[in-house]
Amino acid sequence: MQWSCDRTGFPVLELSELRLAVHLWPVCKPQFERYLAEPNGPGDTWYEQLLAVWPRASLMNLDSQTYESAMIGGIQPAEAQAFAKWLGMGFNLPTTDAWRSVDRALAASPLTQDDVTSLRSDRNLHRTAGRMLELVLQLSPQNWGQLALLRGGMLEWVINGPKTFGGLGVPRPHFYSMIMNPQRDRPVQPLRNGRHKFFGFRLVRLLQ
Amino acid sequence: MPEFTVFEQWYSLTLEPGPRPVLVLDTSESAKAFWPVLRSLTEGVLEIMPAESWPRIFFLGNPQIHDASEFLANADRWFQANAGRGSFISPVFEALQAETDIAIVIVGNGMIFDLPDWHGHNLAEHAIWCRYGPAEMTAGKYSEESYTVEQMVEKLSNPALRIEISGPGAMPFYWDDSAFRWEQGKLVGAKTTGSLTLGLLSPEPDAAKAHVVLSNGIRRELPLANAEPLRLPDWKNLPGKEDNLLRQCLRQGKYRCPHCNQDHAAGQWRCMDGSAPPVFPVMEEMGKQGFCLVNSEPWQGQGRAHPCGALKLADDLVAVRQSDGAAALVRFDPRNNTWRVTNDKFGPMQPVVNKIHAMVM
Repeated sequence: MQWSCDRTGFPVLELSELRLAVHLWPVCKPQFERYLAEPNGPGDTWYEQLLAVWPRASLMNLDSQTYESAMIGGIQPAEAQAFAKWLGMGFNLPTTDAWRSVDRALAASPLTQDDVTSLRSDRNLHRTAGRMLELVLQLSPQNWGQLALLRGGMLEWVINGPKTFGGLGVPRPHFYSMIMNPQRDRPVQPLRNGRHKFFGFRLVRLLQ
Repeated sequence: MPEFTVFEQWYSLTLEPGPRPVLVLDTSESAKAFWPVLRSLTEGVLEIMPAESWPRIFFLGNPQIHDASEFLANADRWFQANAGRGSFISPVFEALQAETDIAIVIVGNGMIFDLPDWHGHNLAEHAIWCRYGPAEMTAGKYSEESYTVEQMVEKLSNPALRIEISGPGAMPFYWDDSAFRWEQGKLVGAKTTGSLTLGLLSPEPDAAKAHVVLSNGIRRELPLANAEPLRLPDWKNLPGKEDNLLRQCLRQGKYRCPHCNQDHAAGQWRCMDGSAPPVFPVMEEMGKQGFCLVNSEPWQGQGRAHPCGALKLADDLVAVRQSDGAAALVRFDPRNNTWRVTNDKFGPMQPVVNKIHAMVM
């Protein structure tokens, strides 16, 4: 598996067969905060609203049962896209098809000890990304899909049509209980407007 | 003979001024309204502090250092460029994380969201949190105060208070600066600039470490470089009168005082008559900064100054001058790898080797 790190120091997997690069995990708070630390961003009040829905916890205090707290939750698609724009390099939310392709491709890719060793020793990895890696490794993932938390993470925003968004993923029951087959079922659309803690996102970009 | 090995090693230590302090200004949404206060506070700090000690200036959320010498000219432009950054300390702390012992003051208002990520880290634990608005910055984790300019200068100054050199089983037996003294198992000195050369005894090589202790409690390790042994002062022939009296002491444990013509015990190196001139003026001069040594082997006795508060008597025995002017004997205890003050007395003419004796004048 090839990967690089984005400008926040979080890993982005390069799936050449799909011509896609995709974040290894749903976007995490320390990652998103790099964007918020830039001048003239959404501001502290906006972030306080987001944290009121899904509070921040330090990755240093989380474990494999609570890692969802490290991820951005309660976000809206347009806000996620603003982050993607800041991140640059053509990052965007994935389409439904792209998300499903990534899910299948990663589930079919075994995770080797060499992969883990290389990831751990990546000098571009931000220390909080390193901590996230250790948390997920506590679950003994066997393939890249399990490491990537496409299942066991957030309901992730995907582009489901022109200006239409929905959520794909399989959150863990203690975080948000739902029955969904993300390969088959339609992306979830919230019944009411507002922020929902279980809506997060990861970004993809086309590989040149 | 002791059944252990004690290494004698010499080191030199260079005491350099520490890194410049850091002032972090919060221009986030929650602190924006306090910018005039932050600006005048910073101007006041720069006015009072000497230019060579000016802090490096950061803006919360921005890893870039701003040169304090350009603050007056650029403050408002810098503010505009940084306004609205979110309240995150990680970019600044990451830029500084190699320097865990600096004085750092963060001035602002409102929650710093990512501070919990740094709990337990030296930068966060030793930072000074200065709040100028109603909203807590640290969620009660650290003390937050509104400091005056003078208080802020004091916090940023963070001067070095002392140097400490110690290690398991390590015992200093010579150093070349009288500002240092041995106390509670450490060589401690209020000196914070310049250099120091010292000799150490220890059962393991390189057992000692040197630290500078800063006023905010931070300890910064200083490198100990291997050094050549210090050259001690030369032996000098003693005047016949002093030589003769010292030999009386060695033979009889007393001497006939040339002033009062009475016997004085060895160790009472001055006549009790306060108006009497010194009986041993040469030895007194030699022993002013520590010990003096006398060698009775040659036909004309010799004396040597030992300008240090410690003197190696054997591989496992060091004499140390104490605050009352007397000397204690400190012996290595191999059972627990420590040096302990013994109950043995440092004699008026303490044997060192052959016909050399040490004295405290």
